[in-house]
Amino acid sequence: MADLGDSLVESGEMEALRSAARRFADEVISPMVGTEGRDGDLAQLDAVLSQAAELGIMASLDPEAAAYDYGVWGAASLAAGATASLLILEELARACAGVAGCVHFAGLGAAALAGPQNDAAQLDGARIACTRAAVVACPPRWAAIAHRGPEAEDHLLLRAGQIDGRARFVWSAPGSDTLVMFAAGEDGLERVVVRRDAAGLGLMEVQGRMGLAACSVHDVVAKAAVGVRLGPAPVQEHWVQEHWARNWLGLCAIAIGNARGALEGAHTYAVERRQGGALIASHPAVQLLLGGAEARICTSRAALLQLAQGTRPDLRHATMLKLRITSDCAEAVSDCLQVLGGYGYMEDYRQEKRLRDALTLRSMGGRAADLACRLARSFEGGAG
Amino acid sequence: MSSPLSPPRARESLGALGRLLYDVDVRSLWERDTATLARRHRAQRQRYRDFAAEHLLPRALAADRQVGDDEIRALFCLAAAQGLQTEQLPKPWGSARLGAFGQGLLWSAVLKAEEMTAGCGGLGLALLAHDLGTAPLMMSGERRALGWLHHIYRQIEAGEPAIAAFAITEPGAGSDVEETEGAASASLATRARRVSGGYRISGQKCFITGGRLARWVTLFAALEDEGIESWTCFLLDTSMEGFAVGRSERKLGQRAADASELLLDDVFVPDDRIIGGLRAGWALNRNVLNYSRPAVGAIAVGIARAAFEHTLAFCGDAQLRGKSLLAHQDVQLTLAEMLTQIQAARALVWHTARYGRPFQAAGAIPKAFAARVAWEVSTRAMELLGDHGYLHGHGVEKAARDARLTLIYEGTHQINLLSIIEGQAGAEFPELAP
Repeated sequence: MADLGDSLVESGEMEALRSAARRFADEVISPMVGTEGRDGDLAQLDAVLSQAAELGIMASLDPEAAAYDYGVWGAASLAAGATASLLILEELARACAGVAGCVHFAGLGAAALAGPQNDAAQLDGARIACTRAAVVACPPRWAAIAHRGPEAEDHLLLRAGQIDGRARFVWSAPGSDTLVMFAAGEDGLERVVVRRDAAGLGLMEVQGRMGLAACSVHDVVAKAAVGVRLGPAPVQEHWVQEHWARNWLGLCAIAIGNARGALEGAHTYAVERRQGGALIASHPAVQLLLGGAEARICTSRAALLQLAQGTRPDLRHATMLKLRITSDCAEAVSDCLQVLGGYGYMEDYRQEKRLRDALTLRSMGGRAADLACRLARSFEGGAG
Repeated sequence: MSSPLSPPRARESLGALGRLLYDVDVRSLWERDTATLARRHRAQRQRYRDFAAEHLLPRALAADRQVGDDEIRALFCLAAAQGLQTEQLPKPWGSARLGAFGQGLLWSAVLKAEEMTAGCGGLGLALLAHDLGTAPLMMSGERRALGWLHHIYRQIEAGEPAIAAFAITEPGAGSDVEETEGAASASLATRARRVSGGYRISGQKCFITGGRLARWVTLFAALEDEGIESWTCFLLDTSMEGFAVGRSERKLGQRAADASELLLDDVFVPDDRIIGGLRAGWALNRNVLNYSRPAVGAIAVGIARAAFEHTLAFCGDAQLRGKSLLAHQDVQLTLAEMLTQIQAARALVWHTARYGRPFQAAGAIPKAFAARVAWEVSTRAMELLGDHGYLHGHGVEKAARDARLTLIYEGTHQINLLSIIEGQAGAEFPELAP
């Protein structure tokens, strides 16, 4: 049966990408997740991500690699729009939102490194040798709560070629060896590429997260850290907005894929489990849960793919989608878990993992209140 | 100096009687709610709160990651030493004060459930599940069963961790053992075969809270070749030959309380361990649920309160854009909504306790409502904290994971809603009268 939003997806190339991603999710990621361990066998994660890179799904920083263009948030996405990246992320997230998150953050890092002009020559000129990048402190900082600390806000300052400051909750794919830091220079925002092991840079892992266990999260502290400044400087406002829009759209796609996985699991269970002498799929109470979940997921998907039609993602609309889709999909996952009753609450069926991932997606990357207030303020101003 | 328009200062402009009628005291809602209780229940609530604050809250985060069986047993004995695990019988047979049941059997259960789980959902459940385990002994009204309850209490008072567990759920029968319509077609595996002097029971139970640590189990089994209408409650001693504990589940939340499989291989149970009479198990089960569901509602209130209190503590320590998080209006609005929902859920639970003898709808309504509240409050709390919301160390994501179970156990949310309809058929819904 055709899914709402499928009509927005071009046939041919898009379908091929989506199919490839789905096969990868089913054949490589799902076995890693399995049914043992709270989040699957994360010791295999490195191998899974390597395969994703070889397959061209995970963006490469090597201009010669196919994944440079066609990986998630690769050069092709910067030119042709977000649809392909979002479809891939959705398919990966059906199997594991954490792995999809790794691919997403690595892609954002590659896009940030390439910059608005996708200048491969500039990267060569800078003699940067890196395999995976993470984006740090691209303003504005939405999640800027300072808990029990003297500093009020995240900030990165660039003075006399050195970076000082901090940034919290920096999400990345494991094995990121390069940070693309957006620091406030004297003439405006600048991109600075810093090796992870550079002097003056401290990364503290954020422990005890609820979900997306496959991803890495760090608090970054810089003290006179030195890196390679990339042009053009200052970074244009619209590029910063596009980065944030890509980030949020990607998280929405992951939320939708994660919820689809939950829905598929719930349907499978419902047609096997008997209570009251009948398959629970025939119980109206279960049908209400499944139907409601599917409606939320499909309308979210349609809205996301509609927005992805444009070449440049609009920040204001991406904000709206992040606010709604992550919330609606979390509800959908919760309802799918409910279908399984007590089994849904246990690790084995992986619905509880999906719920943890869904709730993490909802909380991360910007407080809902901040997003809503930003929308209201920009409405008054008339511009996105 | 506060504004002249602030309530305490504005009040000063009133005459004496006007001032008497205008309450501007600065007191917590906990204090105010407690003041509405009967004196003995006020003292009880305080005792439970003190115990949770001292013994459960400090251990909550660590226990959520890992807790040993010995630690749970030690906690049980600690609670028992304060008389908190033997309250289903009045003194001298148990630890309840003689007048405690004068206003109904539920007050102790709901007050205790909220305070314990406000400290920690998992550790609280590990202690509370014991009362569910012994509930059939009390609810049967049988002299012999009450004698068994007294026997268990004597062990506890002697310092033994004589924990009890309640076993109804089976791999093929979850919701079916919690509601009438499904029960008729339930696929039951646990069977009792008549032998000389008693019964031999074989089968399997699953998701039994406290099953791994229990010394006593009130276990429900159908008689051989009969359906669920033959369900009978048996009191098992876990040292009985043929009784074994299977796997303990890896749960999303309330992790400090185990949920385990019980495996029965021809376990001999003598006749004097039949509780409530042969074939009375279904009625006994349903009535136990009438009493336990309000308590689960109180568990949900406790977990919601934990989410709120952890959020408040976080906000007090946090700054956003140069000012305290508490000074932001959106934060205040959210906290106020959370508090409103929690107060409403508690009010509904306490309203049920005032019935004295709960009936089916009275049990299901507070459970259904409070479980929803707990889930909404705890997930809103996560959202409020942004990226901090998904971190274990703040206690908020733990509260969300703990809250989620209240929509499932003691009958799923949907089963509880249908229970309300069935319970009131013939009253609010006369067309549905059987």
